[in-house]
Amino acid sequence: MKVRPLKPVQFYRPCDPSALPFKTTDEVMSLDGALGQDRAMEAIRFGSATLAEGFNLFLYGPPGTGKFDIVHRFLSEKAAGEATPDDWVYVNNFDDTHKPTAMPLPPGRGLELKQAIHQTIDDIRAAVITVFESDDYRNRHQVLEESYRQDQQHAFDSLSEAAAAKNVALIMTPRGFALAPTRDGQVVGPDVFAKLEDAERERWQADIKELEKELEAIIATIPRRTKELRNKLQEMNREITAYVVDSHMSDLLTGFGGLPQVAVFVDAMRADLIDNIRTVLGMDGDAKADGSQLLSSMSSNGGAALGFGRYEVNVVVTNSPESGAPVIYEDHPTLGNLIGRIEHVEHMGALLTDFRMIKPGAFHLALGGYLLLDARQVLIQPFAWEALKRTIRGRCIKTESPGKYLTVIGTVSLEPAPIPHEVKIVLLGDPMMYYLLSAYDPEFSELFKVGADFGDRMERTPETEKRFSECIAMLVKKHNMRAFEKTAVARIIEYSAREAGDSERLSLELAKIKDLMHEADWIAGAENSNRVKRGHVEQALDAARYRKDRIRERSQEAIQRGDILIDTTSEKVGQINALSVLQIGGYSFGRPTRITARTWMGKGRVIDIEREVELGGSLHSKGVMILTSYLSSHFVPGTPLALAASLVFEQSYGGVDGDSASSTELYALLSALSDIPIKQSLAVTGSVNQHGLVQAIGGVNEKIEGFFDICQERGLNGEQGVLIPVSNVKHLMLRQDVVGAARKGRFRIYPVETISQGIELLTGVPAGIRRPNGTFKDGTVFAAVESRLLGFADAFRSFSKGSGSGGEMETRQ
Amino acid sequence: MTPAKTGNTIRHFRRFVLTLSLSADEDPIQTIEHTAQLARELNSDVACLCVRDSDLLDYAALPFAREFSVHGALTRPLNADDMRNEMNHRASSIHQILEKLTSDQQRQSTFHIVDGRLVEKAMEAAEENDLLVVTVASRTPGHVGPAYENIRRVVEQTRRDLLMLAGAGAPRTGPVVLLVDEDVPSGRTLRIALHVAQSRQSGLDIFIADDVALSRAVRQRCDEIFTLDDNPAPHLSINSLNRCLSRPWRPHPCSLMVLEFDKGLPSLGFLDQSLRIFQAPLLLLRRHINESPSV
Repeated sequence: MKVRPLKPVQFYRPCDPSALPFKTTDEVMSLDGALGQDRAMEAIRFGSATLAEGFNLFLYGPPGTGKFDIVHRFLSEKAAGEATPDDWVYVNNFDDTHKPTAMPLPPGRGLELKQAIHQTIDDIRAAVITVFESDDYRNRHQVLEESYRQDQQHAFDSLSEAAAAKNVALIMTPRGFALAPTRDGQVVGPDVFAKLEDAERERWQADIKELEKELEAIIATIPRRTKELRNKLQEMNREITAYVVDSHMSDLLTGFGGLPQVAVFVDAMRADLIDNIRTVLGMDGDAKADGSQLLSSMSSNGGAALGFGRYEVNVVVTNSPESGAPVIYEDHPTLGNLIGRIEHVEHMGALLTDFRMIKPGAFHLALGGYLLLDARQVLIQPFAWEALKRTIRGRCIKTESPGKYLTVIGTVSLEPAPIPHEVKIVLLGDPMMYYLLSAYDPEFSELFKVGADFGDRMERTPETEKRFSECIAMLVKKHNMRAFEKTAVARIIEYSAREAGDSERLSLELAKIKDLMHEADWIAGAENSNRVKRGHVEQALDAARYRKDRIRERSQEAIQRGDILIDTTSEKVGQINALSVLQIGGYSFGRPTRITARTWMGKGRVIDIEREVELGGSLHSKGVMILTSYLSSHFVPGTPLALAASLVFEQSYGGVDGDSASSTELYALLSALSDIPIKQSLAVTGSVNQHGLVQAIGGVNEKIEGFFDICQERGLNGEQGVLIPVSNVKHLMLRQDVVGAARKGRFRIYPVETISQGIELLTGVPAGIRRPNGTFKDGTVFAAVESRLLGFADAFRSFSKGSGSGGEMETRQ
Repeated sequence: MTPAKTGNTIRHFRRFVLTLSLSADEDPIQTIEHTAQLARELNSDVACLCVRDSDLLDYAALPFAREFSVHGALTRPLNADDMRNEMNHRASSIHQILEKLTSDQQRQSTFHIVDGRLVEKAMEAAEENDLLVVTVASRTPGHVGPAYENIRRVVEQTRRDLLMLAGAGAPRTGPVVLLVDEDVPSGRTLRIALHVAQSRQSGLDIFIADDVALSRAVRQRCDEIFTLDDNPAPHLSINSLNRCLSRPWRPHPCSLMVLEFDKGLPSLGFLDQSLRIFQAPLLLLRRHINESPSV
């Protein structure tokens, strides 16, 4: 059946503004929910509601589909009605200062506790200092010390007296004392001593020995007495401190009644204050308020700060009561930003830290709520992915120093108590990432059981066009744009269909829609219009195209100037115009390319020159093999295929892939075999299967427009056009100039279903149908093809007999 | 003693003599630092006399000689040769320190080692020198205690001025403190205190007993002396000595105490309190009766 060209109305499906029930977007209710993402929304609703373990969400879909905006809006509305989670604070663990204690508090009370304790400590500090500096305290302190000193001095004085009575003197030596015999106030030297009577010498030595025992006893009591003094002083300090502390603590406990965890902490704080008050105040004689003690205090105590800082409260999570559950987005998900970090200060070459240096991460901020993360960002941060999984799995937040992962030598650092969490994690990424993680990370499917699949397009119906208008109205309001008139809205809807590459679909890549709207809005403003009209949208489209069009223009220029050979008139054997699409920087355009074919006798092999030089991809090779199979199955049955052929994309120096030109290549081969020329006024796109059926391809609009632009520039003669697969007709959303040319009969588009239809259009010669006798009717293309192939087979047979080689030929399957 | 004038510089003391016991366990560096610093400020030379305690050497020669340590109740037998060697080694260290500090401060110094008793040797040394520097080797810092009698004997018999070091620690910055208990300090004392304060670029804190007339007279004397001095007067503060001494637990650290005495050494209690409160070396200056009150 003869193929008729498409009607111009089939080239473009407009959006009828009269079907839109508004004049401008000001009258339109903003979109409620997500546009065209019912599947994904159902997943989000389920995943966000279920509390079962592992049902975290992974949202995947093409970029620009609004995954983040949609889920953030949904969760924010949901979270507003949910319970506000607790505040969390870290406080010093007086029993083990390496392990700060985490304490939950009702929402809003974290800061309250911090301030209350701060005030209480300030009051206690002032009161205790006053007491310790009072004359009364100092007097008591002095009395104890003086009593100790006098006791000691008295003991030595008594011994000296007792010794003097026996003519022995207590003398000082470099490290202590000695008891020396004396006579007339002088120590008796060895000469004099040697001259003494034995009895006198022995008496003296005996006396000295007795006195030495007493001296030893006195010296032995020094440590005990020192310790007694220390204990008495400590007891006095405790007594005084307890009195002051208790009077201030009672108010604190009253304010936080009903919170047993606070009572436990306050009790521990009280005991610590009483035991260590002088150290905390820096009042001890050996205490120097310099870095050395700070260092030893912080490091040896595992982080307990010097002074009253040890009683402070570090609020890591604070929530306003009635604020609902949090929805947190962490846009830089490093390890520290996710699970918190322990900061340090540098002092004299050492790194010091304490519980006040614990800083919250996104998990902390999202406690009781939702945490949104970009999957790719998490994966590229060192240790972040593992930490995320660990935190989800363990259901608690464990803040650790990253140094732990990097060193082989253990260093003393903090181990803050883990905080249990109920956080719903929402990861956002692209489909490839989701599938790769599902395939290669065994934990992923356990921890992210709910995948929300965002589509990139939806069906185009009058109802969905209205919904799309609501979406446009929402974007207008959200971004404070001028109101869009309905004609402008209609044009945007048409643009969306063009972006979807399908007149029956609308693209859901709203990022591009938003960009177009911004530009149109700007243009409207530049023209002092308070509304955005259709013309502004058109200008915006043209401007955006113009910005990216340099490469396409250069390509067209090369063709027009003859640098790239493309014919748009006359006929040629074995030569045809193919169509391809180039994608550069998010911009696609079509371009014609010449395909040529040569045939000769051979062993049944079609040489794909692109593949031979490794410029052809596997899909392209597949297409060539398919058309080879078509040839061998449709012609010369029962006879080996004695054909050699070569196909090449002329003047193509980059890679070629895809099978969208396989039908084009087949036409070129048929032309070369039959020696029937192909009209160069036509271009062809479409893939072919082994049965000769022409199949759909992508980028049909760009391809048609690419050839149209060449022909238009050279002057349309009414003969030019494009053959496309019939299954691509519904995808057409062509430019208006193409539509206009078609209306004038200057350009045509032919929908082709089979190779037979295509070859007839291209050659103007009937394709031919195999008759019951197995032959094609003379004068048809296929008859000429078969005749040629039979000739090759005969020639090959003769050649083989003559050479005696037996001649192997490729057998057909 | 009338201060000598050397060029334009008044020299209150020709030479300090520092007497050190070689049997003491204390580190002599701080003692020598204080001595050298003050000698430089007062433009004086330094003589160091190290005394090997003859009593201890005699004792160490006895066959049963033993030392009882206060650190951990340990004992060790003593040996005279070892003891002497130990003392000589200590003397050598002291000599090196002295040379270093005095040469840094461009003062002349002499060094001698003798055997004998510290007090007697100190008194002998005082004959040839102007200012006697003594350290109080007490087991209780800031407490003169048993050394008081010896010091009193030295003061009475030598008629010299004294610099007493009793656990003052290393030299520090801070005001010079002048203690006025009964009489208005002489012009000499005021000039010395002023001179040191100016050298140290510090203030002069005068602590006066609670006596209005005394206080007024001290102020007047200060004005007279300071007016005559060409250098800018240091910051001067007048404080209550009684109040200060009644609170021995409230330290008032300074860099040097100056106290003028007339007939005898101030009481042990007064010295103890002062050392504990001010925690600095004590410069004891004799009042010279013939000196005109306004110089």
